[in-house]
Amino acid sequence: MNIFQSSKSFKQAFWGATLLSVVIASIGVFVIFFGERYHLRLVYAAYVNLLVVLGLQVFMGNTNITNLSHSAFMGLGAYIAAICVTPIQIKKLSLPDAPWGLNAFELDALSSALISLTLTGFLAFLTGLVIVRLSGIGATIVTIAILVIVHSIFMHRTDIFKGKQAFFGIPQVFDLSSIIMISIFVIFVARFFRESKWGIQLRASSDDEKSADAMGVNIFKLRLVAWTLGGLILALSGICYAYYLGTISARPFYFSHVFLTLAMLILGGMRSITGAVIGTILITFGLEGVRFMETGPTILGLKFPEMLGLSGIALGAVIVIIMVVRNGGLVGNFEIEQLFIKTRKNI
Amino acid sequence: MIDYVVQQSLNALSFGAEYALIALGLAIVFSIMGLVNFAHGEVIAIGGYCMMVMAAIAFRNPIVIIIGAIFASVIMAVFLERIAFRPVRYADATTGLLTAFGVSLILQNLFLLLVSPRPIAVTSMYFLDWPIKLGSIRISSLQIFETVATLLAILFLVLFLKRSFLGIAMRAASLDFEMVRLMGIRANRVIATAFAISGLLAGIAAIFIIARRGAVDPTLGFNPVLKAFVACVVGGFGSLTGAVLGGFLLGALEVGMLVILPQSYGGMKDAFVFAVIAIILVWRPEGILSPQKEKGDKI
Amino acid sequence: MLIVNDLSVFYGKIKVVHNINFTIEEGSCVALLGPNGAGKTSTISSILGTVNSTGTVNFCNQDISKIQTEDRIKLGISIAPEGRRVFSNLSVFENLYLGSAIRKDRAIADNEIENWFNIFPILKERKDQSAGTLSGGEQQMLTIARALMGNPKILLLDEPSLGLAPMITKQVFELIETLKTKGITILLVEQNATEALKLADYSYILNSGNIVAHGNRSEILKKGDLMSSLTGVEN
Repeated sequence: MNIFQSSKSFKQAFWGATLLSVVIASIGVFVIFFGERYHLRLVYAAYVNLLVVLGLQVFMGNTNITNLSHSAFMGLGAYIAAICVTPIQIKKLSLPDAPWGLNAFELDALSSALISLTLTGFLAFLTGLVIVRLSGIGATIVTIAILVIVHSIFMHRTDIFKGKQAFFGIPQVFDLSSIIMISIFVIFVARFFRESKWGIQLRASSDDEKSADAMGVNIFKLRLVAWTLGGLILALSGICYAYYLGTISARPFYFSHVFLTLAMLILGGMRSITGAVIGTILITFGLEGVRFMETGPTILGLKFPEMLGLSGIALGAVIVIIMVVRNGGLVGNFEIEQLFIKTRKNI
Repeated sequence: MIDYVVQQSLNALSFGAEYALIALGLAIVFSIMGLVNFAHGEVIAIGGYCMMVMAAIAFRNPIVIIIGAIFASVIMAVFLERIAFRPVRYADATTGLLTAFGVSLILQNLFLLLVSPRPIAVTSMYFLDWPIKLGSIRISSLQIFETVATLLAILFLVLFLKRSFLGIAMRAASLDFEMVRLMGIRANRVIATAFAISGLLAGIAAIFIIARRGAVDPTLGFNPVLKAFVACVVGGFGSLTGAVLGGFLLGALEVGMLVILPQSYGGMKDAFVFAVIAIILVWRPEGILSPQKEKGDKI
Repeated sequence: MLIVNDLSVFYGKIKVVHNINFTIEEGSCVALLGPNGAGKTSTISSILGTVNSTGTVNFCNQDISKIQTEDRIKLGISIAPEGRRVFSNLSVFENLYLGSAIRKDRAIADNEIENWFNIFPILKERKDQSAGTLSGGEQQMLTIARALMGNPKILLLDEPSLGLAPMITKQVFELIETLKTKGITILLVEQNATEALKLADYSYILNSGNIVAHGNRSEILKKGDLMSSLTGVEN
């Protein structure tokens, strides 16, 4: 295990990831057995968001650089897989003018996913070469640039992506149990990365760039690894999204989704995987409640007015309150296994 | 041909003026407290909504409406500093940035909830806009107003920063904030002034945006601010000259893209602009005119 | 005039100054000496209120340990900080101008800038030059002049000779001597104990956050060994 500094950190990572997996799996299994059909969709979407948040955590949590392009990478993953996997007959109909013979081939789900991962991962790597060299705010601005560029390509190249309209006919490949397994896999990946030598060095260097540099830590290389790994996880989340819903469109891969997942990560605490999971769970459930209020329900005979925008206000408030009161998020550096195993204080 | 070039240059100038105005507001806050104020767009939007409200309650005099809008933006900027940004004043840049995001999200949705998600017509600024013909060049009076107003704002800002006590203190604060406090100058006063100025500039920007678009909606300021950010970063974040330069550069770039790109790619303008910006940042990661990094000279 | 009582300074949970006491009489020059890391600058910072500390600081019969930094400055405490910290992009004149921040009579302060220019002719010469272009010694003069612009009741001088050539150091100490004769109360923090002891009416020696000795010059010099190990002063 030479990617870990000690067998202790490996053990910690393993138990932590296992415990989180148990939590995640039990919620999923509970819904599979007791949930109604529309619950399944909601919970599936929540798992997709969990993947996004984990992908975001891998870069943001370890480098402390705000990334706002994650929804773009998710969208790329979703669209590339969708274009590969959708049957020719449907594409002839929905993408009659597609260039490069995009509407003249179809692949099985696995190859499509692999192609999507490869391409998105490669794009992440390329953009990463730029991002990792910039300091905090410059890097964030470039991530915004990526988001805007990708979004305008989605919107403008309607011959490939259908823009605002739905890209339909994607076969349903996954169900809830598949995404539960994928989530567990990603939790392990993210947690192992956090506890690996690279993760630890990255977090140390995010606190003090100069001294990490002096100690011979190659920050650029480490950041690039984190960025690309994050990109791959985001692509995976996009694939999962497309493989269940059957239709996708460009709109969900823009600022509102960026803010939603960002709030999830921040609420839990971006430095910890446990935080990412907790934040996702809390916001998902909380938001359902808020959305219910948004529609103007009648509770106990009291008619509430329709309140569009309430969910946005709630998300914004979560971000501001966490930043002002406790900017490490609810759990800070805490990881779940510390409930059970005594560890020395984490950095 | 010459006419065409002159025409497009004038367009670029007025586009650039708007970005420069907004970028200056961002840069002045950033230079002093290191805050990337993403909520600046909502300070612009408040100006727009204020015009809407004033027009609705029968204010006819455009001067009154203009003053009211600027006033609203200034109050909003100072208010945001007081309630949201003061608690994170000494926190790291990421915390500030995320707080500003949250504030922006809250305000956008408040506009949506309290007013309307749809654009609402505000026609009181149309009077600023009439066509002017100079030979074969056609421009709008609005472009002239906008460019002149921006240049005046820059001039006054320079005078303020060079001549007034508070202005000098603000320049000092951007170099070494703690030392300014150690001179007995109140941190709150310096920062509140920075926010007030950024609000003032946002208010002026709001007037021109409304005059051009004729309507206000919750995301009125969001996109212009996004671009202004880019202008700031390109110019060198925290440098006021850089912000102005970046703003005009961005304006030129946008008009350039519109001219060069074929009609069918018009929708991709932003994508190309942002791509060019990314390339500039690769070339100069700290921006074209990044300010000297300095916190006193420790030996 | 300034009474520091039971003062401790903390950085997070780490205590760097341990329950020290000292007093500065009006019109006197007190030196705080000691090696690097002894807690000298921390003590100064706690008088200014820029670090976490416990204990009380009493200035002109008023407890100032709970009030804001800016308010302490307004009461008449002025600082020429370690590392000089001139505003490098601002001109020499602007630096001095900011020094008069706490005064209401700014017009009179403007005239005083002229007086300072007479004492520091080099600053007059470079009045419109940006402060960052001055040499180390000139910057130190500027820092001291800036601190005096506000007509302070007490002047805190933190390592004024640090990093300066011996010739310049001598000039700086001559300047402090001049200020002393003008009756300005001074708290001088120095590593250069030889010079500081000559100047000061009374000295405190700090080591590892504790006051290990105090007294006037001759009393301190008597403690030979301790002194030479801590401050490098030989008798």
